[in-house]
Amino acid sequence: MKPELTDQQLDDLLASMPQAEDVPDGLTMRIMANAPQEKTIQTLSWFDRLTHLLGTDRLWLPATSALALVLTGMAFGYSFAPETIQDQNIDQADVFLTAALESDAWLGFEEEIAE
Amino acid sequence: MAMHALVVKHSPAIYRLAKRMLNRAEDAEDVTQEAFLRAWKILPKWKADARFSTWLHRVALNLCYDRLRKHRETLFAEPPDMADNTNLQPDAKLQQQQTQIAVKAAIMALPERQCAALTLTALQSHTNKEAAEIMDISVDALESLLARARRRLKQDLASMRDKL
Repeated sequence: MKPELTDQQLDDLLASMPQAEDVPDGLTMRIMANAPQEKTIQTLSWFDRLTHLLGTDRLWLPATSALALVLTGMAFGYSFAPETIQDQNIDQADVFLTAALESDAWLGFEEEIAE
Repeated sequence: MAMHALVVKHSPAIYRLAKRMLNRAEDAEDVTQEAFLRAWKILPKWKADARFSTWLHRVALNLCYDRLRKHRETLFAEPPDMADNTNLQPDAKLQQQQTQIAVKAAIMALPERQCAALTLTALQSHTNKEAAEIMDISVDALESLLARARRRLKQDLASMRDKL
């Protein structure tokens, strides 16, 4: 039976192991593309959808402007159906969703709209 | 870009941990993705009782344990992918690869918690305190795992002694 390695020899062997494995191309995209869709679709309210469709990631729109946008959107036949969102840039939807979830101001605004 | 920033910042470390634990790139990708899926579910209710990176590593590690328990034989059957050091001469490169494969196989043959402790500290460069937090154990318990892992590796890799 061979004598076991010394601590130093083991340390040398461990140090010889590759320290940084290559991360596959597209891993970030795969995570971003697959993960948030269901959550995004389920969570987005009609107002999220509208503002997203109009290309804004800003949370704060005056209530009157928001209502005006809704009426305008309806007048021009915009669809606010969930499947429409799926075709949009998922990053942008995700940013909006994250900000919305984190914003107390957003909740107040949503209540204001509901009234 | 909160979500995207989290993925960019943390996915490489999570992937590397999973790759080292599971030996296969596709399994490591799946674990990384699943860890972030869980993060997305919990983030809206996130309470900062642990650093996000610690929590994410812990989730990934538990996912690795699950896969090791289900597919250990399959994972062992494949030789580990190793970095290709193109600066070396062919003979030296071959010897280096053989050494790395032997060390990797010995690490993977350790009991899973010893494997995790050694991977986090020796290969992923976490401090003992960080590794203990990720594994949700005390530093003393981690050091005990490391001592047992090192003792076993020194025995299992005794045949490498002449090549060092």
